[in-house]
Amino acid sequence: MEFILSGANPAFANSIRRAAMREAPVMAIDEVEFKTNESAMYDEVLAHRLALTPLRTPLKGYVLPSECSCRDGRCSKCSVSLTLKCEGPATATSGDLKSTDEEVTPVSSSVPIIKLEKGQRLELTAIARLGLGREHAKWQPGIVAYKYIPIFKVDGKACDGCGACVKACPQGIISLVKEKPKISDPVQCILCKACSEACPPKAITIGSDATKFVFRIESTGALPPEQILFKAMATLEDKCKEFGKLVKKLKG
Amino acid sequence: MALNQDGLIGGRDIRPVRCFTCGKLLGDKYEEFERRLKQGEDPKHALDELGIKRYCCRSTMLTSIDLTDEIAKFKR
Repeated sequence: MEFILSGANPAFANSIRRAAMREAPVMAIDEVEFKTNESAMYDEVLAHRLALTPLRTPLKGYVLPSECSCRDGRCSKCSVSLTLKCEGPATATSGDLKSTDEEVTPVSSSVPIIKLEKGQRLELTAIARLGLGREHAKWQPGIVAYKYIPIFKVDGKACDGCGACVKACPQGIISLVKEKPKISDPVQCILCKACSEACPPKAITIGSDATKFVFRIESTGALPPEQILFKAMATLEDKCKEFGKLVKKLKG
Repeated sequence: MALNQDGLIGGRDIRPVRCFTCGKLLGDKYEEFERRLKQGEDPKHALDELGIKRYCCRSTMLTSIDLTDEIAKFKR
């Protein structure tokens, strides 16, 4: 998902980015109990691979283990168990994981976990829990990044309309309008400044608009990108409110 | 470009589930990627078609080395 945030400042844009990467809870495998592992790899390696496999996360119904009344993170409100049973010759994949909740399933069924030779068996039970990206990368809901919108300035007197900037632009978004360069789509600009470097009379300056940002949210598939944003904003709001309360206490 | 015994860059390996740098899910794309390379497709074209844009993910896809079969010979 891509959107433009305007009327903001870098600090605000970065808090959104950080909140989205760190504070939107998603499901990930957190604990694995091995019954049989005759594969070539150690239990830990397989557990790590399982943990990194993104799981679809339902919007409601689960709470963070730290906020759950059960306290041990094993009840049906805060955990889902998945089982995997596979016998070689075969490749155990994420698709072999059988979940107790049909809403919590691997995003992709074709992530290879381990290749099993003939006669090798693998049987395990995995427990998935909600978690936050700030604790482990497996709980990051996706990749969130932003960039500035460029301010493209052409010195009309110095520009001789040679078109060197048009050729230099790796994004191909500069064209000559009445012999003067224009950016057709500022969102596509990567601020590489190739145009200003290529310009023989040095007529182009590229600045960045620190009030306008192009945001890009790339979900792992665990949550839809807009939900990542909603959840992040909700936590940000809660944190600000709490901070406000503490400040009021300080005054009183 | 370095090719292994299968004539592939990388080949069948302990495939990283995610990109080492950015965390994008790559594990499910290897099979298709390898199939395309075996058919003689240009790795650049294959990566583009699979939607692997960033150079961190691209290098992860291109440079992982196959060890599964080697390791399977030994006991843990």
